[in-house]
Amino acid sequence: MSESRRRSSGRAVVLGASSGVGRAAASRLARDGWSTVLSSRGARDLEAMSADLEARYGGLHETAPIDLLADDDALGAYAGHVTSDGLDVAIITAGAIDADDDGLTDWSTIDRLTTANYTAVIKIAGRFLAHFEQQGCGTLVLFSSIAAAAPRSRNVAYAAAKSALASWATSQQHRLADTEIEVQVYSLGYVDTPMTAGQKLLFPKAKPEFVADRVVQNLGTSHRRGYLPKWWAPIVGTIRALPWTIYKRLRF
Amino acid sequence: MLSEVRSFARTESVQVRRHEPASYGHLLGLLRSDKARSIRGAGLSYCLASAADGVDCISTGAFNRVLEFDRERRLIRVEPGLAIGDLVSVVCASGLWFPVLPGYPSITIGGCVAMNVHGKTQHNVGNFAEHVESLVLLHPDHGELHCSTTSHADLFDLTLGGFGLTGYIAEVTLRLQPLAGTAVRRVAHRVRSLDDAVATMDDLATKTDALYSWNDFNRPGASFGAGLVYAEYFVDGEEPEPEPARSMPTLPGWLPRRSAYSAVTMPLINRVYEVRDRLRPTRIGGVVQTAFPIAGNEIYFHLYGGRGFYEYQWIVPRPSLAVAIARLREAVAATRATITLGSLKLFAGSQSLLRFDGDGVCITLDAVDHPATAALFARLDRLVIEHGGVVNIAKDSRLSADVVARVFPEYRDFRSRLRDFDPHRRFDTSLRRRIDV
Repeated sequence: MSESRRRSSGRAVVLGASSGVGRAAASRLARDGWSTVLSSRGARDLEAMSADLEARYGGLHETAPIDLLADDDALGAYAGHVTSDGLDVAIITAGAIDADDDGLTDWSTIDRLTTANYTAVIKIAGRFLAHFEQQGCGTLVLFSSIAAAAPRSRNVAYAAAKSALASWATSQQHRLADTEIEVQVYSLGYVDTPMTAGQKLLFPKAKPEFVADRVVQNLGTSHRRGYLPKWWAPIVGTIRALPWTIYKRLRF
Repeated sequence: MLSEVRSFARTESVQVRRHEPASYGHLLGLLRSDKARSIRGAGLSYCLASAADGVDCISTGAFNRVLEFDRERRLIRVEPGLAIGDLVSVVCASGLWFPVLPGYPSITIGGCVAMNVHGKTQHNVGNFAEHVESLVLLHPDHGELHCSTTSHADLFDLTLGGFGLTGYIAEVTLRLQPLAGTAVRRVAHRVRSLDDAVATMDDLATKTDALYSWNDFNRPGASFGAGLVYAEYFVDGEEPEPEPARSMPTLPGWLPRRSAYSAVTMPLINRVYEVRDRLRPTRIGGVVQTAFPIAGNEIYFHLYGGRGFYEYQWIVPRPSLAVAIARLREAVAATRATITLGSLKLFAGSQSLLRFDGDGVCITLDAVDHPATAALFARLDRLVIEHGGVVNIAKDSRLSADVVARVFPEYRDFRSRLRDFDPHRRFDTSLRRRIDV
């Protein structure tokens, strides 16, 4: 798709808007003149975000609280509400992580992580795509993780769910290849968010604002997938190329 | 996991468990805990007012939003983690202004309330507290409290300059003023002594929008305190000079232990600084940039090295001023302390509780961590007790409970009211322990 089709304004929903990359993306969109629908679990956080964006940048910034662990009816009602006034872009950063996700954790935790990072996401994303297909255009942005690209003995269910999400996104890209609908999926490296707070990590954390800027710049372009920051690509590539005898000894 | 928290002046450090809540759900969960906690904003307090050993440290970093901006009524309601520089940028865009601005743009609104900070126009507009319309406190034992002069007035009073010990300041509503110009003209007036500086400032006091001085306290004899008085004026129709991008005053994690400031280097540094501004005494700057003169000059703090520095601030009552200046000059000479920064501001107001307020002239001294500094500051403590006025608790990581009790007439009142409200010490900091409140 040509650069001339890059989106620069419209109506965008950000699911996961109250913190991290979602919050930064909502701010960047508002600064660029987009109307936004801000979604996450906490209504009070969303009200604060909405007021802040209005005060700083003007424009219309609605709130639509949703819990990814809600039942199908609630997820459907949410998607219907968000798309009812038109929607050009959907950015879904919401997800969950659990310090005990070591492959031995209880089923309820695995179920929760799978739902929050995959099942609920594709249920909502699928409805947004249906709306885009109806109107003939739109951009859906999803986030996988380097944990999915190079699985390890930590964040087991999280990595599997993110891997499934990346696979689902690729399938949708293939299905919608000849349309005006874009599905973009990013594999995030370490980002300075509440998920990584206090963790000692091998590589530096990217600022959420850096990630958000790249994501918003790519809206409406033919960008399909990639690592953010980009320098994770050779690192993950190297890890994946390692022989198993070395890989199994890595602690990352 | 424990991590180190240092005071900005680098003279205090503790190991604490840090929390960085990003949602109200997370924050309220942390505040429900029985464990004592401290609240940390930008971490720019010279003393350790946002952490203590064995106390969970909760960041306000994610709570930096504008919650309501009523341009008609000139009120803005914000979260505690909003940086003061950010606030000024937002309100300036609507032709409004907030008049009490401390030195660094990244100081948070919560920190400004807790320390009841002052700016460069204190004699005209007072301290931060005088511009707070209302605030919301969260406390594990008392819940959510909406405080103002008409609701929980006693707690409102205790919180303004209460060092963040009355609870988590969740919201602050501030009163704004019309912006008086599109740029700021700063004029540097040369002064030949500390007495000359005071006289010059008194002459300019009613004519300027901001007024402060830079004084060389290392000069002996009659020229003690010679330097520059800066007068600032809002102006319209003048184009601000382009300024380099300014960073926030974050200090690197590691610095060489030895300070670059010494009896040998300071005269040279001071002379270069003075000549630079004497050669270009008038400058036109943007309103936001000029409001924060130290921003962009963080090297001043870096050059103290790993041992850090101390600051002394004293509001000298007018009747004692002449004697106090003479005694200060004697004390600097006798202790041979190297003063890295000297400055004056005019103050007007009434002092209460532990607030840094009152009528007089505010004298500021910075010095490297050195035995001579300790000796000088101990002499200054005695001077304050002898001549009256108050010291700035927020700036001095060395002040003892005994000195604070002797300097502040309402010390016992503050302590008993705080303990009545929070008998379980749900909020605790190194500063609280040191001054024993």
